[in-house]
Amino acid sequence: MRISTASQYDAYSSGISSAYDAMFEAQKRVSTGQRLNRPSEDAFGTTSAISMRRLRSGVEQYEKNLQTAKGQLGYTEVALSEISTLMAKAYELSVRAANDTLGPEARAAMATEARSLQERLLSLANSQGPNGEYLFAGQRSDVKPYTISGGALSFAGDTQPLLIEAGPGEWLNAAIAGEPLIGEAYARLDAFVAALDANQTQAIADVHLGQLQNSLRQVDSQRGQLGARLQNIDNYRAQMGRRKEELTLRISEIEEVDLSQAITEYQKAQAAYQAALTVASQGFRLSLMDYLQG
Amino acid sequence: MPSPFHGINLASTALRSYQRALEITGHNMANVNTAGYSRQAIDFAQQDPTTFFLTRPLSLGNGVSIASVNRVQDRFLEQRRMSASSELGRLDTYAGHLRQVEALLPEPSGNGIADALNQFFNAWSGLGSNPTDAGQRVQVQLTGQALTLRVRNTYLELQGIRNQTEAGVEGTLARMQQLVDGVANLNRQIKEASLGGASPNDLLDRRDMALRELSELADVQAMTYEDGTVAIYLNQLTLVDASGARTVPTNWDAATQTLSDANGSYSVRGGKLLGLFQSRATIEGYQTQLDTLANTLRTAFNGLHQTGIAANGATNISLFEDAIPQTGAIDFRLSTAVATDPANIAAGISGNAGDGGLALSLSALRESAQPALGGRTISKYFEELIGGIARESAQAQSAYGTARTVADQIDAQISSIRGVSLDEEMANLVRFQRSFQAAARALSVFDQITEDLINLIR
Repeated sequence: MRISTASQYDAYSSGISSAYDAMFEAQKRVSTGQRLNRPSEDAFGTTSAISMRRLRSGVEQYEKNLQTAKGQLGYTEVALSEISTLMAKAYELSVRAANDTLGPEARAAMATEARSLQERLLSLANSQGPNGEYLFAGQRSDVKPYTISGGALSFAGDTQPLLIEAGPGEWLNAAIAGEPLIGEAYARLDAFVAALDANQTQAIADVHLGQLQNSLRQVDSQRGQLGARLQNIDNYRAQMGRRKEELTLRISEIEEVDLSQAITEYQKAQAAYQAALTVASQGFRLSLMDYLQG
Repeated sequence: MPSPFHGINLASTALRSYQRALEITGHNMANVNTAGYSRQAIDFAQQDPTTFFLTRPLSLGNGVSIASVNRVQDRFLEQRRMSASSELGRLDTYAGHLRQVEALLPEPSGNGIADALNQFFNAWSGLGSNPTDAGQRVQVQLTGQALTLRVRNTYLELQGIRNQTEAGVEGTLARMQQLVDGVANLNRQIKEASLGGASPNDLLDRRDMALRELSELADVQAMTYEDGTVAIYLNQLTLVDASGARTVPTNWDAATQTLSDANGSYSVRGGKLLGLFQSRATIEGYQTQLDTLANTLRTAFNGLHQTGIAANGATNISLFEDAIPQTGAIDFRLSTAVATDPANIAAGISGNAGDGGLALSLSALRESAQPALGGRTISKYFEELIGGIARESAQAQSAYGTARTVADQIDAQISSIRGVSLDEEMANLVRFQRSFQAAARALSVFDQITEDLINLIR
């Protein structure tokens, strides 16, 4: 084929420019670490990366929600464990009070102690979380749930669960219902104090001791449930952590370059560019004119 | 009997012929870089001989002359290049616009609409899971603003590219008119120049260039006539004929890919013009999908949010601004109530501070299939939009690459036939120079013998 001068020069320059383009692309991959610069470079990869990013973003939020729930349950756990200690003391008092050998003075002293336990119970029943929310008020968490009106305890909260989103279509309850547990315990303490005041040793032994023990058991059973939920949350979080790690790995496989491979590609592109330059510079030098002048 | 000056005449025509040949070689060399230039080849021919008697009739050569200066060219290849140009012009434009569309969609990354959707759903999940934390409401407001802003901006940027395509159509039609006028003008000049039998090579080159550019703009067909003029048609539309240039229609419709004037409408099936029509229609399609996305978000979120009681006790609050009929992505924004005060955001339907049920339901929209989106989730719908753009752009780029290769191959063939080779011209230059020198030498010999003849008589 006859080669015209212009097409010879065009071939050199387009060879150089395409080799340069390839080298520049390879260079960009090495320096940015990004494999995808435009969606069209890998349409399938782009959509999978977007949907994996969506999943990862969800997982990150679920982790935050679980963290919130853990905090909330943590506060509740502290309050419940104090209530448990308190009820244990009340039960202990009732065991001692059931003893015939004690005199009325000792029972009066016990009544005072039981009253202070009752007051403490009231204050614990109105425990607040980090945002000032009442822990045992259910969803009416901005209203102080337990107040004394006319000598009786009244409850202004509800027993609705506080759900947190732990996954698509998965919700965990981050609340421990205060009712009927706390109201009952308070009423039983009330009755116990009344019995102490009335010096009803037999009633204490027959009724109150058992009731207080029952309340203590209920509190402890709630604590057990709470512990199980915290454990459950930890399991969820570990699972989320693994899921996030796996998604991050797969996203980076799509979006990022394998550096050693990218560097090899870059070196190859550089060699091709040098070859194009060499060929062109030697081709440019060849002309009939050089031979005619001599 | 030949004239005594026969030799001088013969040598001087040879000198003149080689001088012209040297000039034509110089013209070729000078135009080595001229786009569309066809090299010119000299056709030498011996002059008709003179008959004379010595002892019997003999034929005496009369030397050389230039029979013609030909434009080296392959009509068939030029035709093929025109249709390749139309395809190249179309794909260059279309692929270029799609790359612009891609450039304004930073996906996958933390800066796009996909991420804004994730953050928005996450904010609802966070609010639902911790409704007493005032910061979560602010988060819903902020992510809602970011989402609406990104959708709006993307729509407006698409509109910007769409406007570019419209301006491009206007510009292309104006350029077509210029070229059509130019070709009609060249037709006249070529016809006049050809009357004397000469071939107006450089005018023909210029007209070929104009035809090639015209074929990049639209799928025109050219027909050459005996008198050297060409007629140009765009499918059923005549652009240039024997009577001169016609007016290129200025009414157009991208959807039907037609031009129209008072006499009818005409299909455009190739070239930059078709590329612009296709770009415009494709971008409009993407805008419609963003409209659907925005309207679905409005309907889905407002419908639930209006059932809730906001933190400040307000009821029946819309989350997004909405109207009947729905207005799409162009003015997609949070309602004034929500944009000005996050306390207008509802997390529950009971009004109790700890009720996050409604926010959790809104968060669950993340996974809910929307009938308005053909049963896809909101995020999936957007992902498919991006996937569609990516595939369309990749396909256009690859088709452009193919068209480019085809055009380059034809160009290489054309260039091989008509392009100037400096080495070849150098060789010709030396050849004609030597021939000129030989003719000059012959002239001096003839001059010498004429002088000898004259001196003989004295």
